[in-house]
Amino acid sequence: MILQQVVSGIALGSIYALIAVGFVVIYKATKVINFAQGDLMMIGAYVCYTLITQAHLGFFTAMAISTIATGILGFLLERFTLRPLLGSPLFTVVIATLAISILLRSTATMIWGANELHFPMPLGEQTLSVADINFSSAHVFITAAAFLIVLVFSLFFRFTKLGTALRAVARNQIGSVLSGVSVERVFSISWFLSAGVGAIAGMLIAPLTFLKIDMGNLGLLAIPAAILGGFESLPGAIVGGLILGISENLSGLFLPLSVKRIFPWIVLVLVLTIRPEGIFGEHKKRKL
Amino acid sequence: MSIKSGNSKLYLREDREKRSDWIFFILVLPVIFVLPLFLGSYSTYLCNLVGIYIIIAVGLNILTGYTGQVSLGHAAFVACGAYASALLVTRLHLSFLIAMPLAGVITSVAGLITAIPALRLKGLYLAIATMAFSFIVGEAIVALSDLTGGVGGMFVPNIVVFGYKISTDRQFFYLLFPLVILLCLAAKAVGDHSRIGRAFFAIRDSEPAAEAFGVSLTQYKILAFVLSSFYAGVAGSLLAHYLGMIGPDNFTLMHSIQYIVMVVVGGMGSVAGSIMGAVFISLLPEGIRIVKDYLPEFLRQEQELHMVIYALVMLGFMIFEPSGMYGRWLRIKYYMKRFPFNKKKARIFKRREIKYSSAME
Amino acid sequence: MKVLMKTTASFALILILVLSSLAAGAEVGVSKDKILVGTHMALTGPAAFAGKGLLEGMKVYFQFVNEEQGGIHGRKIELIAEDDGYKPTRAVAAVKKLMDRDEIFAIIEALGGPTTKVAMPIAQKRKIPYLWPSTATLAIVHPVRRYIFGYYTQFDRICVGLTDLAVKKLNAKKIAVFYADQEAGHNVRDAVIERLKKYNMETLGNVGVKMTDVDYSGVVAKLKTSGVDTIIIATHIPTTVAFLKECRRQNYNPTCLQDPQSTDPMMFKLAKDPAVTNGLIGATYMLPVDSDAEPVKKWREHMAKYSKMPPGNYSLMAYCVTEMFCDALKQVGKDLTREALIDKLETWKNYDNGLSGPVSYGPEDHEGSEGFFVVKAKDNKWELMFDKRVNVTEKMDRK
Repeated sequence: MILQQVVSGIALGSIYALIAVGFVVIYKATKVINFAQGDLMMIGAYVCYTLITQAHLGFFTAMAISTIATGILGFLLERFTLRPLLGSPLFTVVIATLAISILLRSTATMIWGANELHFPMPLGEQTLSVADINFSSAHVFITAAAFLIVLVFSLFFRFTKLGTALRAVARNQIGSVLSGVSVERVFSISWFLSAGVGAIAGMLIAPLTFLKIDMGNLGLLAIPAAILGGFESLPGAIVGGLILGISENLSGLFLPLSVKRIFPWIVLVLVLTIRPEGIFGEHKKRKL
Repeated sequence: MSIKSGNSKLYLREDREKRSDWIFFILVLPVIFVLPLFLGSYSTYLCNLVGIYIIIAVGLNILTGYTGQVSLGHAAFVACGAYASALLVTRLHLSFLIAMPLAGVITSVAGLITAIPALRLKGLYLAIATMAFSFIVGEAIVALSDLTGGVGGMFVPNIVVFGYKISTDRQFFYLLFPLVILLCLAAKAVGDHSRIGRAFFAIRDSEPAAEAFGVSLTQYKILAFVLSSFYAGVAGSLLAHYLGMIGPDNFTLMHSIQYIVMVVVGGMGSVAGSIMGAVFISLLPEGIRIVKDYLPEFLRQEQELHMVIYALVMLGFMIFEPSGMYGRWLRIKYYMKRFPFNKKKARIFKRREIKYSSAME
Repeated sequence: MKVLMKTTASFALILILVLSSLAAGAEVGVSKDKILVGTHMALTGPAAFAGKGLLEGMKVYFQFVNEEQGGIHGRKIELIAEDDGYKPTRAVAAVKKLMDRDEIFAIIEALGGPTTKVAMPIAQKRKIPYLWPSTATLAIVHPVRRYIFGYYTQFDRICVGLTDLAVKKLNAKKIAVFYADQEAGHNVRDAVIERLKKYNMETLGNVGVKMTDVDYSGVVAKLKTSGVDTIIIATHIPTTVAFLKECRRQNYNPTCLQDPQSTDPMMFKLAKDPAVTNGLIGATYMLPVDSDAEPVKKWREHMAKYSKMPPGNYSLMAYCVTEMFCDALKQVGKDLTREALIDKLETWKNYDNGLSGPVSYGPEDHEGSEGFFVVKAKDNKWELMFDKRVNVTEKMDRK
């Protein structure tokens, strides 16, 4: 029983982690929480759906095209709405991402309508039972994808030139400008990457939740996971997601429903008060 | 998204010219008080709603505009006030005139409790913590269903003042607007002439500097939360009794966002700006409805168009007018005043004197 | 001096503007060749699925009446729909706009619990008929208000019927409720718990879910291990389908019964695979949309003729209610007033248009329908389980 809950918790945690990666990639470089992340995810899933049903593409081709398309959308959003805001207070930028979220949501409703849609499962549905514990293919897929994406991104940040540039900007913007990195381009690229990751997350989660406009609300649920993991750390996103997923599921066994609901947010407030830098974050001294 | 985020040019100081203020009052006050006599119930309802939103926005401005603390959970404070007042009237049978300020005080206590974890946090983290707070309050409303009626909400009786029942929109208007004006003037007094206001501005512009000048960060940040949530509590109480029915749907994240947008669109740091923002954002749907009649047929049918325009207006203000409507108003005023010698003076208000790109490349 | 002049000038301007807007006369929505009818519902946001369906059903019937019957006693009906986005503040604004600006005759078929709850008292105060809102809110019919009429069977009645069905006919031993954390869901949960007391039974491990929940594997595992054999579902369609899918995945096949809100053909579109929904028992206010009954056929024809929307449960509901409204108007006759309409409705006994069951009203009874159909999902179709409607006519214990 408890073991099954842990397994389900891992699946839930991987979903959180998958979404949280998108938050982390943008936050790392630009120090902004993108409240439209969940909606980019939704757009990615809808584009993929349209490609499958209208253009009759195979799932994986559609997935690849949709990932790139959503990435480009993220890039354009950065270029035309957030680039002009460079130098404004953080606050203005956050409100702007909220506005983007509303914009994406209502535009999507105009295009695809408010009804939920059926989204195909990429590899068919199978359930594996080991000693009374069920692993479903969708969950295994999501967990694998979350780990894979974090691995790929970690390698990318570690070993490629672009990744190094991203890390440099994350650490010290003026310093990286002085060493010839274009901060603006790094910002654009991080939006591209994050929107792309969001699209992948959307396409993997849509078979579970169906395709719906307010899929973006899921994005908010991943914020506690990202914060728990330190908000700047990719492995942190996975660990944070898993901790939250498992503990949320276990709390569902023993605690009343309302406590289970706010559990991630209570964890978040506690983390922020006790150790705002999260598990994997670095402690930063306050500078004058 | 910046190299340095402290840009105090964006925050506005109140225009200190007394004369223009008085003209404003002489012109606007009588109009406000005669207005409902000529308006139908629907228009008066909109005015009342705007009045309540003005209280919330002006209160939020104390926290965000004056002190620079972001709150994405202000709807939760409004909820506290609404439920507190409703319960005081229905359960303890208090008079509305006692219940409303008391609801404000109770909400202030909620603000105090929120302020304690918020003291350690800044910027985005604070925004997220306040958002978490609003989710927790929302869930608490559902969980305490014996008191609050849970997801179904609860009915709230009409306001009774000295045995006189306030049941029409017009009566409510005359109860509400003196209060709105009083609260706005109080907020303006705090911002303009008080030691507290100066301490708030100091914290907003630079916390270390404020601390160095002997401003107690703890004390004044808590005070900002308390004042701001008091306003929200009073507004919540009025909203509850006016609508006659409250439920969790009145206090969602979307509402919190709307309140903060009012403050930002109006112009952070000024009472007049918050008022403009509240009026503009709450009447925007009406404006869109009017504009819609002139659009081509296929767009007119589109219900979602309203949200698209709302989002575009928000984005437009962020990008082109970050100092808000009040900032634009000040600029126009200076332009007119110095005409035709306006060129030089107008530059004071240029948004960013040193653009990031030109400085860096 | 200048200030004074400015003040006077602006005053005069405002006065002129305001007075000109007041010039319109005080009609009650009925003119020589037109009847104005209003409604408010969510046409945007998460509840828009229901709102758009309802609106389409109303439009289709009114269009049919206007074009094929030449209106009612020579008057064409014009429908004004306001979008309230499921928000109480906007619902109040919508109702006041309908009453003040558009000056409608009556409001019919509004949607939603929180929205109708704030709108209804205003209509009652202004003495404007507020008929048959589509909501699970008991407050609409209890206590009785002269200008407010309910139609859809109240949730406590449906729950009594479903619980009796589960215990008596389906041999339920361990019952759990799977509900959405919203008003409708909570109502179902409480009503089922209440009814089970009669059989000395208790619910076991009820589960509340939110729209944002993604994963139900933990929930299903918990239900499975606690040996629940019957689940009463009160959630939205996507949640229900996701839950059923998870049950099948874990090879867990309890008897599932659901409340009317998601008994819709939409469910099969989402599930695709009939194995997921097969055996699901649903309560529904109307006959199944693909029923062979004459009135349902007529509705399908009208939908095909006047609308582009695929026929669904919500449009059928609204169609049925709109037909009731038009019939009432016809019965009132040429001298149409609000009072006459209310008086007429209060004399209705066993009115039946064949889409749902009979309905009766009285001065002390505005509740409306008291029964529901039971349907079972089979190969992506709803099939009637019993030919007759299940009626729950006993007196309900309502606080």
